[in-house]
Amino acid sequence: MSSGMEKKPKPRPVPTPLDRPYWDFLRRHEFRLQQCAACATFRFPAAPVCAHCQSDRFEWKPCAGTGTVFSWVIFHKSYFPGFDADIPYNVAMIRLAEGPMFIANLVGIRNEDIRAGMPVEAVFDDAADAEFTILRFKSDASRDA
Amino acid sequence: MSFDLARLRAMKDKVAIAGVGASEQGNFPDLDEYTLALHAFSNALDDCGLSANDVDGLFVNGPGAISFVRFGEMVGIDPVVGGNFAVGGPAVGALIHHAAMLLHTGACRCVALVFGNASRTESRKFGGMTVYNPAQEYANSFFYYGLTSPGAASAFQARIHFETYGTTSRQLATVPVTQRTHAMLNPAAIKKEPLSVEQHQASRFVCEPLHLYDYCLINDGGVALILTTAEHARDLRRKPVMISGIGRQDTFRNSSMPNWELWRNTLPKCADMAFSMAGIDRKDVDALMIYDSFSINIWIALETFGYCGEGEAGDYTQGGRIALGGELPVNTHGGHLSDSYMQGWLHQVEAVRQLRGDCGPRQVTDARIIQYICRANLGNSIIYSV
Repeated sequence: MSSGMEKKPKPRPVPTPLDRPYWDFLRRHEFRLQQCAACATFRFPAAPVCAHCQSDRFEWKPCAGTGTVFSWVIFHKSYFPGFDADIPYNVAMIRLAEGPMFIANLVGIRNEDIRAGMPVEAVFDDAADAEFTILRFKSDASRDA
Repeated sequence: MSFDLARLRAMKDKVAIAGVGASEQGNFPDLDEYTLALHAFSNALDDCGLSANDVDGLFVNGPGAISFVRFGEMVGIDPVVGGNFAVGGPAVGALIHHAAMLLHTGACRCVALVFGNASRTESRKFGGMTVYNPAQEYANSFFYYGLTSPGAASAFQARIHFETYGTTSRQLATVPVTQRTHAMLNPAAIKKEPLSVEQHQASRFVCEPLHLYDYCLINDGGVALILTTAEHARDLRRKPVMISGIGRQDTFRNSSMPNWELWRNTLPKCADMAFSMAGIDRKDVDALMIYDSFSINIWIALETFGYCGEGEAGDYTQGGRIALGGELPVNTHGGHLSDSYMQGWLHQVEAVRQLRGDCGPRQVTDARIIQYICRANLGNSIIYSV
């Protein structure tokens, strides 16, 4: 961080045996989710079986990284010291092209410009210590800007 | 339908709330959750004229780590059956359901449901790196995005309602403003200063689009309910309040995230179960008690339980309809937004007091039937009658 101030850390992902592949793929800048091998339903978050057909056969399939904003909120209150410098920060629910609902921050857009139905595209955000990568989303508008 | 109506009907009016009690409500740095729960337990026993030794079912609950075993040790009883039910806000309705079944099947004769809450004193924020709650949407899965708190889940839902139906925060303000007018008639309520729509709109956001006044209070207190069979309750000190209908419907699909269907696909089944068991319709209900951790809960409850159509709650709640003296008063004690944050427990106490005619200036005239609704992943509803 270039601020020169001592920055409080944000909460980090805590991979589990279920979603460790998700995090490993993200570190390689690949966005993959589980797809059921029986009924082709994509799922998020990770689970050992398909909630649609209960099949335990699946593959980690590449996702387009595109979707639309379904809902969003703006945090004005501090719950995590690591996010204090970001207040007011957004968190959005994004309907992925593959079907699942996803949660992520939208970047490169002012909070007041967020709209329902807005197309968005995944970007890989590497942690400063390069220990993990998380997905955030930018709007088409912010890419063109 | 997935329930057996004949068996459900057999339980109608067979179990009653015989006693209710509350502790002092507010900020008590020198009291713990057990002490507050014990004060409420003692008051509830006094209310119906029973003693601790009459209690043979003991369920204890709260947002902290209160234990039913320790509570039983403190009051010196060995009940037949007991338990905690650590599922957060939906617990009280679910516990009443379980207690009714235990009593109706004869497993025990007198169930005490006890709640202790020292959230204010313990500085509980209901967000951040807090205790894992298995019944809360999205649990602790998305902290790395800064997402946390039940308030955020409700904020997502308020946004969905606003965007889908064209409703507004200003319309939503009617809920806290109306409930404040109710609290002003309740001597025990914590917030009794007048509140206007303009004040609501000017108040800071906590998780936008929800303002400060869309959020419940966080305070300390205890509540207790004494349930027994209808025939036993008739011999006790106060007029029994019958449990006429019980609804329960869980929503687990997609529960890692805020429920984006606003429970439209599941909660109507809860409503159907409660109304079917009680054999009544919405028009028979004199007042509603609705679990109001956030103002938007009221809209979702009214819509999913069929009091108004999908997307119509913004208009439906205007013009005094949900105020005392209106067509369908909601949360006549002030609810979590203005009375006290006892996670739905004081909503049961208020229902009982209204049906006993004990509510003085905030009494609903000739109240005979009151419905409690909790919209949550463990959706539940109780229909009370006298």
